[in-house]
Amino acid sequence: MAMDDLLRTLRISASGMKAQGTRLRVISENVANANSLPTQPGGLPYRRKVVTFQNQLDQATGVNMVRVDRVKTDLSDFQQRYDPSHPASDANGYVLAPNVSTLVEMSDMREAQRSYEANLNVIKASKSMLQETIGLMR
Amino acid sequence: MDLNKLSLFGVLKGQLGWLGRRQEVLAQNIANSDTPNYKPSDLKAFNFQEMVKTQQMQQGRGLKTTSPMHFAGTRSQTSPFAEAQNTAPFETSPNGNAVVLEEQMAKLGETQIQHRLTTELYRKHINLIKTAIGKGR
Repeated sequence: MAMDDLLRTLRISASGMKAQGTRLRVISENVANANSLPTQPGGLPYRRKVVTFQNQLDQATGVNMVRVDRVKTDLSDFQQRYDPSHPASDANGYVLAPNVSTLVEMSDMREAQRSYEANLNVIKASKSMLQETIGLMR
Repeated sequence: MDLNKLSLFGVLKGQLGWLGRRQEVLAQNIANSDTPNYKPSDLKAFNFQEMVKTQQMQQGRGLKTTSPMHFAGTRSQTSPFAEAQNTAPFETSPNGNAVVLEEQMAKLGETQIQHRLTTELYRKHINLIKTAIGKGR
């Protein structure tokens, strides 16, 4: 009984780590595309993506897992950059730049990292508890 | 001799079950520490007598079979330990999530130490019985 609970714990934490992994992937996409400008006038630059989480009741085990709900796009305004030499610049010499702020992405990355570590620590704790239980037989 | 009839073994077994279940609840909270509108929950404190009472109550439930052709029916296994959602959290983030990671990690450490204590007590008790049996093993 207790063993079952602990084994399910591992699965819950793994789902949390997977969700944070997806979040980190999306963050890296944003950072990598922070300078993806349009190629022609009137074109749109890269639009920032955001991850939302949702908790999901796993029917088979009856526990609250976590999963990535949907990767949505950030609908905030694009930045404007003055660069008349750019092929996509408008009549005034401005070119649209992605709505990605590297500072926001970095703090988001830290948060994902912390949550990942927390889940990892739960797995470590559960593992040592399982080992103690098994150790009773010795 | 049924070892579970010795009260200490019964209590320790119940405590181990409670700790395992609590670990599961805490893992749920931590995994959902970034889920919007998620409220953390925790188990009510372990009480051996209450656990025995709920287990006895649950054994009486289920479908009655009046003929050998009847199926017993399946009943979803419910945990004998009561869960309680934290209605007054320390803080709630703008997205409605009320999990405080530090609090959950502290509870996790507590659970781990209690588990070690319980398994150690179990082992000591076994040794006690081994001593009583004597060396002629």
